[in-house]
Amino acid sequence: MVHYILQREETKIVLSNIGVIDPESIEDYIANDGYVALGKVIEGMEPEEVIEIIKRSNLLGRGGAAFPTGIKWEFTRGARGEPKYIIANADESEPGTFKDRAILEGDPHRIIEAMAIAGYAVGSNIGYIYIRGEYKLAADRIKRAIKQALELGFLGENVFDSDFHFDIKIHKGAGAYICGEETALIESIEGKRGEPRLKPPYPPTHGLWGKPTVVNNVETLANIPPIIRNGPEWFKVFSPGRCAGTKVYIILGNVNNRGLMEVPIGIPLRDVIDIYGGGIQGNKKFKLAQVGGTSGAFIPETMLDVPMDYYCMRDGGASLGSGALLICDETNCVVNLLKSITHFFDYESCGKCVPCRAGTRKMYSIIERISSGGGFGTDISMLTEISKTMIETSFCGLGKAAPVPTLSAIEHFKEEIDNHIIDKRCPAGVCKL
Amino acid sequence: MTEITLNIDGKEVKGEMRDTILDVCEKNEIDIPTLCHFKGLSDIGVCRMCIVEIGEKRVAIDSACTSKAVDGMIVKTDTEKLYNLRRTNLELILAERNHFCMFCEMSGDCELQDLAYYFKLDNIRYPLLFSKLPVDASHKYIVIDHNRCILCGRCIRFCDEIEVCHTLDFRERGSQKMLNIDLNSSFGKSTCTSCGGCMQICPTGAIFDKRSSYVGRSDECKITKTFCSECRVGCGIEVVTKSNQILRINGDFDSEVNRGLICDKGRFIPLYDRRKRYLKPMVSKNGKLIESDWEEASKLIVETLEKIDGKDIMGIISPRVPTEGISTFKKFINNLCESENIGMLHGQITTIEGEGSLNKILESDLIIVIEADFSNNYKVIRSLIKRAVINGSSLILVNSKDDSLSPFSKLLFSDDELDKVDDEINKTKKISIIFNHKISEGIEKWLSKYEGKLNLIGLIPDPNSLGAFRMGIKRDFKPIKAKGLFIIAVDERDEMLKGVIEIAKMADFFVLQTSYENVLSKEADVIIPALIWSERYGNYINLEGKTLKMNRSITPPPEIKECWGIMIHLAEKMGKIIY
Repeated sequence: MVHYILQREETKIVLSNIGVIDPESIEDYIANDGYVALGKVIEGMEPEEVIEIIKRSNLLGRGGAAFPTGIKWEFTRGARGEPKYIIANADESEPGTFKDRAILEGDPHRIIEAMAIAGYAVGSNIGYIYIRGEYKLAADRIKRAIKQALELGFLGENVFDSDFHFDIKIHKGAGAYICGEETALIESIEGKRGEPRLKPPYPPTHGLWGKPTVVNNVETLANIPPIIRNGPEWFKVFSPGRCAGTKVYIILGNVNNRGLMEVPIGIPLRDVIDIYGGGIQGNKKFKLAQVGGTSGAFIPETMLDVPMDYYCMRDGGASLGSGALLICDETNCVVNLLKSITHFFDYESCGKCVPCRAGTRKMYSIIERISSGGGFGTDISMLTEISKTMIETSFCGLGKAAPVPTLSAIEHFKEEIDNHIIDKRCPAGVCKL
Repeated sequence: MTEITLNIDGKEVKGEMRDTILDVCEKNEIDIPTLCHFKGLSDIGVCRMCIVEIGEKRVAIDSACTSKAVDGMIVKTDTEKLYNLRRTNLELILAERNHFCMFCEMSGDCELQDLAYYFKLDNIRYPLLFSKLPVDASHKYIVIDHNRCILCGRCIRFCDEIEVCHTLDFRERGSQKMLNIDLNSSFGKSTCTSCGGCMQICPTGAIFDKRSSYVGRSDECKITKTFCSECRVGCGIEVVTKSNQILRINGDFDSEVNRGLICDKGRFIPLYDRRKRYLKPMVSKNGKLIESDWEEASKLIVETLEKIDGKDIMGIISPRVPTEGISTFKKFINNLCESENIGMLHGQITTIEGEGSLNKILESDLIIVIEADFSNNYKVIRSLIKRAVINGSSLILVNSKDDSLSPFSKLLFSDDELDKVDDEINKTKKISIIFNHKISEGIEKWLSKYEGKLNLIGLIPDPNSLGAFRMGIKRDFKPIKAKGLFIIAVDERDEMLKGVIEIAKMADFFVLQTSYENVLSKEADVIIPALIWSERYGNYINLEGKTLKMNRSITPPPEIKECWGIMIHLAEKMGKIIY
């Protein structure tokens, strides 16, 4: 069973209302500084000022790509085309990630407020929330919240009695991981196959229906009202390094405390596991951590001291990604893990480009063969070759990221893989060879 | 267009502002392997064959067909790294489905195979999957073998962007992705218009022609560029022949008229013709047609016609004959037979000069279509109209007879609302009016006020009636009870000949020049064999008023002459000269 960890209130920005307020009551939200930021923006600030604040806060996108949010809004504001759109990416299909679900179910008004602020800043009057089809409760709660906000004048015509109007529509996904990619998401809203578009042009200049569009992750948006209320310098206080604010991690696997944890950015992985995760269960030995989601690299013990911020992780060949942290102890088999991972990508590849469509299938079939005792001596070099081809030539981020776990496993756990191929033996005792 | 300069493989080359890197390479004859790219279709960059290295300090690898060319760009198209990446992608394609050349109909004519040879891929290291995907042979002319499909999407883009029919698309995702017809229908029971574009454009043997399977590779064949003579558009075609047999007909992508798009009337139907052909002159003896020879037939014709007075002689010419043939026939009838009675077998009735421009359809703000039914004719023009609407033109249908255009139309009017059409015309600048050949007098009168002012295009169903019309030969001629009747009806089908059956029955002496046995044959006293479309050559005037030079792609059987050849020969027998 997954449960939330009690944390010091001062360190929570995104999750501060969850479990504290009644998500179906707009009054509760208002009583906890709800819609104060929106009022502040509409009644006393120019759109350019709003963008400047977000830029100065150094807020980076929390969906995985970590693009500076203020700069994205600035591009969209400056782009030509009407009408402009704000899209909240609530597709959240990364396995093991449910932070956006928690925010939408526990604090839906936060996202509405954030989208309205974004609309004001960028010059947009229409927002879409693209919500994963399986998130029924979240969709119901956000729909109710939209209705409540309309009734009280926080949405609709004349927000806060001004001449700014903003509307939010909901669009449900239909079970495709690739629709979390911003351009595939946009194609899906347009009623087409969910396949990524060519980039450039990027959504800020050419997005939904060809118009300038901001696509922000739900967690990114959840940071907006607090930053507006408290100012950009306050946001920077939360973390020691170059990145500002906090990150919501979803700590899973062989740890004592599993669940959502909002952690200041920059804390090393070892501390996240020991302090927030409560250490490895049953005093077993740490084997690897997969950080960022299913396309995250396998981080071995030797890299546990890397600070968890976007820049340091990137230098180390990894990424914070969506924030999913899978902690595996010595009872796990790397090949078995890879089997699930490569199967996932084979299933979720959109099929548009050759390297990803054919490559994900090939990689799964090779790993599957290895895990059942049919490995060949050429398998590792073949996996490496396919991986490099996918990384260099895939059309979109899915194909470029999918081989990362396999390559990191070959780099850090080659001996274990060789045991399966050459000795037909699974050291962890998991695979049936 | 602003000129830009790129550095490709160390050389300075020139391009234009909106070019992609691949465009610049094509203009400068730099070869890059491609598969999903086809000139004239949008580029989607899915095969990853045309990848190039862009930049110097930070080198990015991206497909040339989708990358915009920027002034000052440094590009490498031919490095060892690119070679290996392309080769691995090709190997992945070949391992995905069943690409076994030994029994494939398109072996030798396959772009995938060509690339495999180029990359020296004589064995595939990745485990083959031996897919068991369906083969759909339900279509009348075309087979789809999904096991050979590389999911390049060229067929889908052709069907979507050029034919504008959208029968084809993809379904499912990832390794389950498949070429799909309508809502997962079989090809034979679909919205397909049988234009055959998907078949021609498919780089592999996934979509191929039933009739020409295994009969010859393109490099063993002769390819004749000519124009289709089934209707007045005159689409550019390439006739592929081997040993004087037609293998298939391709659309000519270089042709200014149609840019590669043709229809089933031009691509398939002429090749499935099973009618009985006349190879020698026939003479009627005791009510039966007996095979004869030139001497006997021409002697009979000349001797009989010389005895008949000009006013009792009638000549009717098919508008499928080139201008040279029509003009020679006219001279024969007018000068040699001294008759004024000459008419067109079928074709133009209206006097409206519908000589518009097809390209202007695409540039029009407003297109008005009057009573046209595109289900059997002029499908190429229907595609142009749809393309124009997708690009922003408005469409008005008057007395619409065709459901396929209704979803594209803005307004529907009946023929007593022509004043409302006038209102729309007055609001707009660039207008095209496309009208059916059988319009009422009322509509004709209304249209005449726009003659010469707007882009008018008449859909008269025949190739060269404009040529005949300009020589004064009309369809609404006055029929007479002829003592001598000469009809040239080349390869017309029976429904085109119904209008003259009565005249043929009434005639005392009836000479029929025709290619196939038809409904007029049994009335004829003499039958002269005529050339069929692939053997004819000469000039045709298309609906834009352009002169198209038709080339013959087949050498005819020895006894059969061109139309004007026959006239000259008959004139000689009369002791006269036509020219």
